[in-house]
Amino acid sequence: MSTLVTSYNPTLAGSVDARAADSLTFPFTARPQAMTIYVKFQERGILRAAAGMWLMFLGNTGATAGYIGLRTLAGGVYLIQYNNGATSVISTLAAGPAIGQIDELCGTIAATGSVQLSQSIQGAAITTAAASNALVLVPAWGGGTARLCLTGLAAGNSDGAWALLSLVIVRGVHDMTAMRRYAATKP
Amino acid sequence: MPKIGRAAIGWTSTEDSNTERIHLLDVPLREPRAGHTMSVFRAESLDKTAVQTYHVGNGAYELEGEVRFDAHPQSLIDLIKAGSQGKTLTYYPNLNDPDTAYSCTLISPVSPAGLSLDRDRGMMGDQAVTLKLRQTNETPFPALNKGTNVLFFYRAGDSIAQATFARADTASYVAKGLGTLSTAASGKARITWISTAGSTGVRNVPALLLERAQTNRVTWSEKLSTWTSVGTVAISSAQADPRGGTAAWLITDASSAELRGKTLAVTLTATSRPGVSVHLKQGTTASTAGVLFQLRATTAAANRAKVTVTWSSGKPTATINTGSSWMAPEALRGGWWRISLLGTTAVSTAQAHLLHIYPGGTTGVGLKGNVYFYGAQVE
Repeated sequence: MSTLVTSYNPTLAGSVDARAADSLTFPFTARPQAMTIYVKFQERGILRAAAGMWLMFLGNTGATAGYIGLRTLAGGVYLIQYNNGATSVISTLAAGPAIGQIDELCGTIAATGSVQLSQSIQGAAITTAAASNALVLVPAWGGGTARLCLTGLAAGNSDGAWALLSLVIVRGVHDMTAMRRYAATKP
Repeated sequence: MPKIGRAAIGWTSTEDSNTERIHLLDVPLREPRAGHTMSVFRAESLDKTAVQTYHVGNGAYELEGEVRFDAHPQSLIDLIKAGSQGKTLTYYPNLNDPDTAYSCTLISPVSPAGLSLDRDRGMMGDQAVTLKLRQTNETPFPALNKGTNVLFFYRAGDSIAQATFARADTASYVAKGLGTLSTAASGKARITWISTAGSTGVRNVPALLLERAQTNRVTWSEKLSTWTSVGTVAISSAQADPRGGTAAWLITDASSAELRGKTLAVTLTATSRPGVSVHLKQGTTASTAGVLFQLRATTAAANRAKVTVTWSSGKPTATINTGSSWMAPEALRGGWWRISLLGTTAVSTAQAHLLHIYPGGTTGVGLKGNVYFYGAQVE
């Protein structure tokens, strides 16, 4: 496991001390459809943790059947991935934020299942990755109760470190500017 | 804009032979407005210096919205009748997404009630009514309050009562303003405060801090008196710390003839790069060479992480001598700063390590200085 510098954990008894992980999931009932995921956060090391760490994940606990999410890639960049239970499509950015920087990610999935990811770091110009190929949308997320997980693939599986400012999911495909209005955030 | 399916409100009734009653809305509820109701009793002192409040329970969240352009008034009145009878009404913002539904109690209007002519299309016979709904589980309507297309909405500081959160431990975060280092109880999600203007700005933006499990391998992160002295180093306890307490120390090298500082043995368990951090505050006598803080492998006589901190009017400059920067020094209350860096991977875990602090800024002799110390971490 790659090392991060996380929040201060005092040791007052002459021994090392382990801090437990944060785990956070929300219920999510909307079916797979064209939608836009907007997340604004402060990078605090999840990009450094390892490749394949999930920033947010929408699906079931075992990541079986259909799921979608934002995760890290080796080299310190983010991508959006949609999986239909058999195969995945991804859209990968070319650069990532430094530790401490504010990052906005805007990921879309079209009705065709094609995904695309945009980014603005510290309110700078928006950059957009190439859209993926199309992939048929599954009729439901996962093989069980779908949930929106902000700490890794499964509950209790916190993948890294980040500080979330806002997360909005909107029906349909929208650009970063529109999503900022929905989130009521300024760049 | 995506094509939205019809919105609808449904209910079941034994008074007719349908499997369910559905009132299709011509448009989703318009002008949705959040509300809350709670029994509150309040008394104010005559001189207005004191307010006493007594509330019963925590109340319930409500949503108020307008049914507009309705061309089926009888069905709409049946809906109000069902709600008045205490039947659960289920609001579907979009029938293309029927699993997104809200089971509600109708708060108003209740019978006797009537509809009004729609203000824009009343001449065409369309009618309207304002509904006040309360979810049967009394939870809020966050996404719905932002608009029908919004499937999920969260902003740091919002309620996470509908989520499942766990952390079986206390954890630190930084409070708003100038940044008091604070502790969240076990099971409490941390709203930490950041400055988007940089690590030195006022912390005026809330953020939900989510971290993986991590271990601080410094066995005494604050109690400098337990560290091994190098030379006749002077330490003074009970100094103001970034939590607002007095757990910090002033460490002083007052000799130009002897190296003075403190060390502590640290055991590393992995070969990955260690994260090293410490809280420092400019002392009363700053060494010209700054303050030296390092993690050193003693057997191999090699540094894994080393930083020299110099000061200008209380603001630090952290020069990474070994390893790499993690982030710029983070400002905390009272002139405190958290200095952080990543170590190298050059040395294996099998070797003994020592954590060092030298207020003279060097492992040599000849430089005097002091610095305030608090909270060291190696992870």
